Amino acid sequence: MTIPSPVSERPLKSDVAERIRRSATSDRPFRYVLRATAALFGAVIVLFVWSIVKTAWPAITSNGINLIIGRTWIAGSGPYGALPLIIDTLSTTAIALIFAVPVGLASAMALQFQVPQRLRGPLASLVELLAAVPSVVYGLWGIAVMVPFFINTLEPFLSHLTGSSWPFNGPQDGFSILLAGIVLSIMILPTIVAVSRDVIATVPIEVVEGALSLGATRGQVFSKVIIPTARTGLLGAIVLGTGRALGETIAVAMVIGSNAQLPHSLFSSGATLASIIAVEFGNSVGSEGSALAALALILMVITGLVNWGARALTRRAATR
Amino acid sequence: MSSTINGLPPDPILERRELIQLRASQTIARRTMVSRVVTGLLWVGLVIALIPLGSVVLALIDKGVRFLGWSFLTALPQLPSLASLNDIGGIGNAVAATLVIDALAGLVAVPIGVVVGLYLSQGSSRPANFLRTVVEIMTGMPSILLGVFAYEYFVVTMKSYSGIAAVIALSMLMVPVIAKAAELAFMAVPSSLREAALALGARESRVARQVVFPSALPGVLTGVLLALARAVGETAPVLLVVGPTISNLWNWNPLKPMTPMPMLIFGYANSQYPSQRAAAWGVALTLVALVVILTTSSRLISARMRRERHS
Amino acid sequence: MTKTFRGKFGVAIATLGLLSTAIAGTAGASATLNGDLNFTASDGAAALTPAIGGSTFDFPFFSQAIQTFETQAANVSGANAPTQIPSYGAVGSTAGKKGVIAETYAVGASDVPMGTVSNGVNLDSSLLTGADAAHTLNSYVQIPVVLGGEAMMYNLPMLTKYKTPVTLSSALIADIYDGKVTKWNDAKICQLNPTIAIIKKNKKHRVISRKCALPNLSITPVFRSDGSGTSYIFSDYLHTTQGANYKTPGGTEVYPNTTFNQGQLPANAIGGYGNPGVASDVTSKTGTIGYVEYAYVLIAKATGSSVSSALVINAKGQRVAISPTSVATDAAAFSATPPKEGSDGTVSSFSIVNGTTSGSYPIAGYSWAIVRQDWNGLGTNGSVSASLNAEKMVAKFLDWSVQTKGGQQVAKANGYVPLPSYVTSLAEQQIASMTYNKASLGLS
Repeated sequence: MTIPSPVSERPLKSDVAERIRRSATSDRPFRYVLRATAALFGAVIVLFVWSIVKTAWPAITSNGINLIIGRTWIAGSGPYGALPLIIDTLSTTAIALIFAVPVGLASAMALQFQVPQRLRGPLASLVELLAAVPSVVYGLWGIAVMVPFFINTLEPFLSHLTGSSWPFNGPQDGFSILLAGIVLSIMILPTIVAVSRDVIATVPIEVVEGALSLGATRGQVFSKVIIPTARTGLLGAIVLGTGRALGETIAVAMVIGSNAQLPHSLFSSGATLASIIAVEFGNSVGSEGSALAALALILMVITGLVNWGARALTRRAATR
Repeated sequence: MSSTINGLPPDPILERRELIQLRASQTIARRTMVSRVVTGLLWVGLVIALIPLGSVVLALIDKGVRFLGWSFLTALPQLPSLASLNDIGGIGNAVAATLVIDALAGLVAVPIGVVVGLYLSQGSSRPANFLRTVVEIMTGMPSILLGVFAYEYFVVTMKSYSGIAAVIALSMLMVPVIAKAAELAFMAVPSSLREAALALGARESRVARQVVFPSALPGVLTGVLLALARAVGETAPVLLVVGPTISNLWNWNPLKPMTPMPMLIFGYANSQYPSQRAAAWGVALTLVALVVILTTSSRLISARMRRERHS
Repeated sequence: MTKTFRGKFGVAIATLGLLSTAIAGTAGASATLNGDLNFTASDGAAALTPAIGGSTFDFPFFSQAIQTFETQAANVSGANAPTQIPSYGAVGSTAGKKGVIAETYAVGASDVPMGTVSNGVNLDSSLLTGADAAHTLNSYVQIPVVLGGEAMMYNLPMLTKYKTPVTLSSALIADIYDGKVTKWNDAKICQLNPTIAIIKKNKKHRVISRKCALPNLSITPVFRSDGSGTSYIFSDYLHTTQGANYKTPGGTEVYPNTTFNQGQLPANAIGGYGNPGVASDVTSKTGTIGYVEYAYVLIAKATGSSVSSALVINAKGQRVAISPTSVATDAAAFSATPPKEGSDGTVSSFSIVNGTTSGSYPIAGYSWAIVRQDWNGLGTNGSVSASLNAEKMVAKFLDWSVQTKGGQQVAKANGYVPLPSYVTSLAEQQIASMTYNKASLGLS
């Protein structure tokens, strides 16, 4: 992916190289502008990270590890324990992945290998259109369409089907971790489809044809050739989707019920790290502002690591 | 599996052949079946992926279309009250706020994003690699965090909620997207072109301006439009910094509080007035239309670019 | 100032007389304002844009009052009247107080006065010491603007055929929000509601059987997910009536100190964003109950929702429906100890929950507009645009808001209760104590 530019990388030992070098050195202002802009951007990002660390610091020092493993959050005075928020964030993300990964990978492969050529473009555009719908519109859809559907149909159905056993027990309010997870799965679907399509496209066609010529069926080609070959990249796509799900804010805040608690079942209301920042930030009192910044920092670290991992995976897949 | 013909003792070779044929046909049948099931499942996956899209689009059209019209798009919102429950007016100032904020965010983010992309495309020095990692991580940074930042540094210091604070948060979201797209577009410019120009003695800035930019332009433009499409729909960072969720005043001044469309949708969706909750769909449809226009143009440009490259 | 209740509230007026000398500010006792709507060209009011926001308890009031003020001012002053006051920011009481301190709001509205000590914790100490230690409570003027009741709004459409709504006691309300009572047909609720029953009678019209008609349905308590003065009034009521019984596992009261709760509310509770969020959650789901300002019940009913507001058993043991009258009765129970501001700027005696007069509805409170006392030296950019003209206009707006013939008409039309005269006079004195560069604003 990173193709080094021949000009700056490899000094050519020729007249031309000398002229290039001279012309380059004689064009200092251009380089300065380039570097200054890059440095400015870098500086803003550093400022961004620093400002959150700075605000979060008092809460981190006074709460310590309790910030992550504590369960009590008393605004204004502390203590601040974000365990329920962390668990809810992970639960909604897990639910999102359970739905989005199989559906996303299947759609990517269907688009790449099964859909007739002339339908491929339009169908792919349709899936990607899901990404064009703003998060707040998913939230609106969640409230207006999904909540009634959950209350009247899905939750009673699931509860009836499983005899109200865990995790399909408890209140049927619509606003729930399950709904948040499902809305998230829809939101990360286009990411997973688009990235895994790109990855699948890098599987050498010779390998596929080879397998087919040896008598492998399509099913075998998918499961024995494409998935193993593209494994790293597909994992990258999934991790990238995970990052999206972890940090999604408004749609989740609108459908999860804003009740920060450890989940009792899939139907219980909850609150995620991101959603609580959105709801609470303007209203924080006392040391709570710092505690919310600490949540932001936790979120930043988690999504930063996840995205970094995803990029590393997709890049490794692309260069291999 | 033994078979006897007319009571004769079984022919071991024939039996073995039959056995093999049977096994083979069974395997083939099973494999075909499995393959059918697998391919069928893939189709099912694709269909499932399209169901929520269908539902969202249907809801948008079903509940939103009746609002669309010139007056809805241009008139000011009315604030309903007990005496006038259904007076909601239009969304003119929200459309204006969205246009002002996102145009300004574009003005800030495009030059920085393009230059950062150019810088990244020029090599893999240590700072460049570091910056590349930063850009990639920032692309996936939850947008709410930028809202927190913009609040601390702009709302607090300016002592006002403002459009400009939203511009800062949104442009920070856009820069990485543009930079990434620009980097790829610049790297896709054949190095022979660049080298040739440099060999002819052109300055780097001139090469960048007259050789690299023109041929990378479509790629850059795609990135810009995608970044804009994302920014237009962003709510989380805007919510913290921009102004009241519902406003009934015209305001083109980004230094003052504004209420762009995503904010209005959030306010309306959460309203005590059913009329406003219904109108949220009108705003949502308008917003989605705007985003679709932006993404479709970006798609058309990249398709055209691909065609040109092939020809 | 209306003088009708002088006899009845003589004590109150006397108290205020003493109080007014204690109030800092140059205007002192000459605090009888009149809702002046005259603006001249030199006031420059037409272009001023002071942002107002905070409490969602006040949202229906302020949203309407800003527009009515502009309209009425335009009738009096024509083109010189203000036209650009931004729409009210319905962000919650805590955000309102934060906003006025951060100067993002020229007026911050809150249902609990700034500097209130609740359960040993000063809710705002960090606001006042954090960003700018020079601020003290005395830098702010706190003005009561509306009086309102909080309805226990519930959604049980199957019960609309019964004449009387569900009755709740404070103990039951506490039990519901603590997760101890989880079903609508809980024996405790049925016991309190004998009229909501399927009654069989014999031919002699004797009752032969009575079966509780409350549905076998989970109660979904809706609470405020954001920092809320409405929650403060609600928990103030529960604390006053239930005292020690109303505590969380940690031993502290939840709602005022904790803007969101972890594991301390029932598992199925839903957090609504602002009064509007609670109202829309309650109207959209059967089996819910939530606490909202009465205006929201009126809006919900007017828009065809099947919600009702519960009768609440008051201090006298009566079942009382929420209405402007019963809320006014509750407020009047405290007329002997009207709210007052101390020399350190804290407001005391503002709580009016659980009034002991007959017919009073027990969950009620005043809502407060908080402004900087002296705008000189505040930034001229920002939302406050701190000129003398801006401060004058805001003072005039607030003055008009508390007048019986001005903003209180808007309050009345939206389900609030017009301020009692002794509270109006406190409001007027507070407004009159606003200064610019230590000089009186000279409002008439």
